[in-house]
Amino acid sequence: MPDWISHMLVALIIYELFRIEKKSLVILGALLPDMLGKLSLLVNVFELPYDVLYWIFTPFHTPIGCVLITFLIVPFFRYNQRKAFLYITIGWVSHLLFDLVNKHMLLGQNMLLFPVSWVNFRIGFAWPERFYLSLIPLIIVYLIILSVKHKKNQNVYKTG
Amino acid sequence: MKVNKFIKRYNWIFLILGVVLLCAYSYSYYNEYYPSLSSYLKDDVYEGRVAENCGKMGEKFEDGFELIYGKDKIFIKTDEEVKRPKWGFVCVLGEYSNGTVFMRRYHSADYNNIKYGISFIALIIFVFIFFREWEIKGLRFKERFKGRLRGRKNA
Repeated sequence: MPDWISHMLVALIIYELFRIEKKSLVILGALLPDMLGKLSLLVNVFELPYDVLYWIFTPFHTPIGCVLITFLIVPFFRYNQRKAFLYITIGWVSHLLFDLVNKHMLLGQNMLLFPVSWVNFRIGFAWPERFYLSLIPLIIVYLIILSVKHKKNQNVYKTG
Repeated sequence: MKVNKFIKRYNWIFLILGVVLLCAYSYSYYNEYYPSLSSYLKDDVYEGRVAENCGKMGEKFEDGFELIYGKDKIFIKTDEEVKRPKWGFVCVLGEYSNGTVFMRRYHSADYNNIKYGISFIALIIFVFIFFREWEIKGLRFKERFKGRLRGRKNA
């Protein structure tokens, strides 16, 4: 997986480029697949059986698992339910697509067709620990978008 | 009509059931696709299977090293010099045979743990952004303001 700041930046870029009302919902979606899935890392701390946690939480990192969790989360928001569902879905779709850049030998967490197929999809751009290869360009892109928007806003105020 | 009402009212039960079934399916069948270290150690049916396993590097020997994940430990046999990962883990692609994995390829994920530190910072930023837009009202989240954050309305 790329780091969470990269996932968050992708969500923020989407928020800035499209007319999305609640950025927190897109970011929530962008972190959602990892939030529950990464509980399996507890095996390192507590020496729990590897399989139990890792494979129990793996479905949360698949589209079908994310859809179910999104349906469960949305009612907790006093907000337009369709919009909330859409924003969270945009977030986790961006997460799963962005994870495709990860390189793996065999094992990965991109079983996009689960439970129909257990195939791990990947583009294989960089090993997961080289997260800076995506983090740095994303920071630059986000800052460019913010500065362009800032300039546009200034022009609007001047002409107004 | 009554059935429709029931489904609408208690749809969360079906959703939770769906999540539980997915998790159970994943846990029950992963061995057929991606056998893990503990599968190797429990059963002989994985003889000759090639799989990838990641974990901490244990003791090093002349003809290999120990791979540790959670409670499980297995000997990885190789002639290659595998460097101990710094702040990370090692992933091994190998063939299982008689209590040993014969390594074909490996990847040392150095400094991978830094990513978790960065991700923790992201979690704090997320909580901050989230509660700027939402407040807790009863058991639900209520928006603090309508539309986008102030200052961005003209964007």
